[in-house]
Amino acid sequence: MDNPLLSVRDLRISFHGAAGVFDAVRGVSFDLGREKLGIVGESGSGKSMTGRAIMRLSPPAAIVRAEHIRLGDIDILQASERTMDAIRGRRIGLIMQDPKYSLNPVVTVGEQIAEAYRIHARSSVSDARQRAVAMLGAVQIRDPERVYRMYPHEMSGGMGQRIMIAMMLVSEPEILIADEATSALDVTVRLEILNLLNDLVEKRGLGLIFISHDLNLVRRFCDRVLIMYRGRVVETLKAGELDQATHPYTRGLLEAMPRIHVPRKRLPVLKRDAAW
Amino acid sequence: MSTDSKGLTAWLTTEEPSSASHAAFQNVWHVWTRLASNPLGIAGLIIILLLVFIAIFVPWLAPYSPFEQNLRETLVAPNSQHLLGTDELGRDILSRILWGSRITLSIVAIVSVIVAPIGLIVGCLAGYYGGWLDTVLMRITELFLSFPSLILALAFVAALGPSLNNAIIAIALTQWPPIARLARAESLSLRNRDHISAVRLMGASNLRIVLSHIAPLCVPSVIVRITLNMAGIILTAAGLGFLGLGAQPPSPEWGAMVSTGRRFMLDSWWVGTMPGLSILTVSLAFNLVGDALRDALDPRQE
Amino acid sequence: MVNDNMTSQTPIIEIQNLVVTFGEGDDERRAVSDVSFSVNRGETFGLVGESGSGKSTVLRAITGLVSNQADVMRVAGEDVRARRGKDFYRKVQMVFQDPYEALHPRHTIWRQLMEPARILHIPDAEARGHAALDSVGLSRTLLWRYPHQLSGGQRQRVAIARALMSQPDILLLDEPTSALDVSVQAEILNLLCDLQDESGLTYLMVSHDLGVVAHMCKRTAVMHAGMIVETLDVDALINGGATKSYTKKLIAASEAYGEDPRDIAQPRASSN
Repeated sequence: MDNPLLSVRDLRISFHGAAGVFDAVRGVSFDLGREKLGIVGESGSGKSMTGRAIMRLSPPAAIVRAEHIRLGDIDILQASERTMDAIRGRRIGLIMQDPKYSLNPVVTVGEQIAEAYRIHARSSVSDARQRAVAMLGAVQIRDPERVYRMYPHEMSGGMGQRIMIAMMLVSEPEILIADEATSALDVTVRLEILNLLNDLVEKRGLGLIFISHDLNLVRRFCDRVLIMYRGRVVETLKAGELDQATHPYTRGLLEAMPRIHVPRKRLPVLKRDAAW
Repeated sequence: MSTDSKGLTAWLTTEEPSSASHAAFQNVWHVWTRLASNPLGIAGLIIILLLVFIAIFVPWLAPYSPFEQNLRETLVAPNSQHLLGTDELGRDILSRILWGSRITLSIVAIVSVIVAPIGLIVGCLAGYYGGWLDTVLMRITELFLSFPSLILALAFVAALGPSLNNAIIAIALTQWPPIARLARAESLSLRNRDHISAVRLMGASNLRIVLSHIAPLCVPSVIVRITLNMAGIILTAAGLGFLGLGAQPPSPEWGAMVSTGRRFMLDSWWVGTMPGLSILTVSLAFNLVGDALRDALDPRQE
Repeated sequence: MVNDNMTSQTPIIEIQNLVVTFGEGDDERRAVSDVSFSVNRGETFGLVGESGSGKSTVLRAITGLVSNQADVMRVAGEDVRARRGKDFYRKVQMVFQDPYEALHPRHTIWRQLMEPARILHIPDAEARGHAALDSVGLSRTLLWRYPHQLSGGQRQRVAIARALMSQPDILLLDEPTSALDVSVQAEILNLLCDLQDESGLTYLMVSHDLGVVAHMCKRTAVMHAGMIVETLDVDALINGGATKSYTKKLIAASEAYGEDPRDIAQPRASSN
């Protein structure tokens, strides 16, 4: 890929615990362009850990090594904490599964978005307010003026997630990492959020890393998919070509899903191979 | 089971315990390994164990009797005869401090034995049942909470008459409300959890749920809280002793000793300082252990 | 899928005009209003809906975990509107969404299984405990572990084994696989089907996942905003038989990003 937004080479994350060394991520490499890159895997596959490492938000006990994690001309592993503060939330945005934990519970959501914009654009208070209201509109919130004055606990899941997206987008990042961002949402709401993300990626030329456990969703939504299993990328595919997946793990996952239109008496169960 | 240490460690850490008691041992071991990884907590634990050791063996450890007066050697500065000096009646301060450990420990033990069950039961009942029972129990609790504990203890002792036993009762009465609040908060969050719902779906009575499902889950945080409060208990006891409302002379209670030492502070600093340092050390030790226990007992660490 | 021989047409769960309200006075809001449906013995009945639709509340109302009013609420032939005795809890058990939450965090697996036996005075508890573990495919080496030492799938198996201890007729399944990985979900769904084949259990299954409902159920009610929008056969639901606009929207949304794109073009094979 020419000139990727983000380049990750041989990322390894390990934990030293009482039970010995545990390798959570074992040599992950990928480049991200202006595209929707899906990272799929089951729990414990290291997909979220990979997302966190890109923002250098790994837990303190984690030992993170890599040849490089390069954002433009900055190597994130070498960058100072100050540089990272300028990157997090401004050049790379993170949307997590539960917006409740990401929002300040005692500040109205509108003010939080406005605050994010003010830090980013050094604008006036009234300017930021207008911008925040506009952003709420952009993420298709009805009656943005009213929602501006609401507190995070008054939000439904879908609304909270829109707020998070609005907050991440207001500072116009180059890369957005969505970590199971739609997993807790209802199907109808999820559809709207995904359409919203899709528009934003296309209009603003963002690079989106979409971390999910849901293969079907990723194959329909993303351009490219990395399939992770136990800390490794077992397969990288164009999303449309997932049917041609060759790795038995990917195939097993695809088969294990209940399918609305193809009733089966029993679901095929994934046989795991220690060598994967 | 093999008895050599390697076999024992394997037995304690195996993924497949073979009986209920095996699993229980593993649990204790698990808490212990986490506690052991906290050096400050271990330091505190060593101090407390030392205190217990002293309290048990004090007749053999103390160089002098705590009551024996020697009016020819009053207010002697620390020297090789009297390592921590003597007080105004010529009693050896080291011996008195060592004997005082028994008083301190018994205060600690009796108060926790009274406070933990009361706090736990009041809190769990209020939290689980809610409604009017909660209102009544919590208003009573708040009544106790609204006075500073030393003042409240003072009032009790004043009413009951000054003595060590009354001081212990008074301290216990002031110490259960925070425990009850804690247990209530825990019960409130527990009662809507699915595993409690699951027990309700087995047709369990409310009493059974409170006693065998809610209360045991509140115990770890209550233990932690009581350990952390221990410093406060020791200081309140010392405070009452200092004010002359706790242990009565000539009993070697540390607070009372500090109180006596006050009169000689300027020319015989050791009389008040030595028991003061003992209070400080033991309070600190309990605090350190409490902190370490909080981390070790927290299931979220797993 | 349900074995036809075991499906007789006698309703084992009958509910008419179930109403659940939360809060009092000005805060009062209806979580479930006028919900009516019936479930036949041996079938799997689905309750589909999005979060806040009241589908889980219906389950909790049946068990008495939330207070409710209903014109008719008969479970296994008995009116359960007033008090539910131990007999009710022997017949009706529930499997929760998050197995880690549903198991006592400080009890061993064996103790989790023995607890219902003790409360419900189940005879031969130990033998039944072993049988329950066998039927959910759990090794006996796990007996003395704690929930946090198990994987998500194993935990859900323990929760199912615990529900089976009283040999119930009805299992209420509250999103039993939505907290699990897809591969584990397949194992648990297979297990539930096997158990039904073996012992003729009746399932009332709440789910937001149309794929899971289509796989497990013959009939389903679609819930929205505390009400049943419509009740229909799953075949009809999948093949465009839905009449209400909300149902159509739900299916469209599920298909848009949830389904295998190869499948949508094909009509649902109406086999089994």
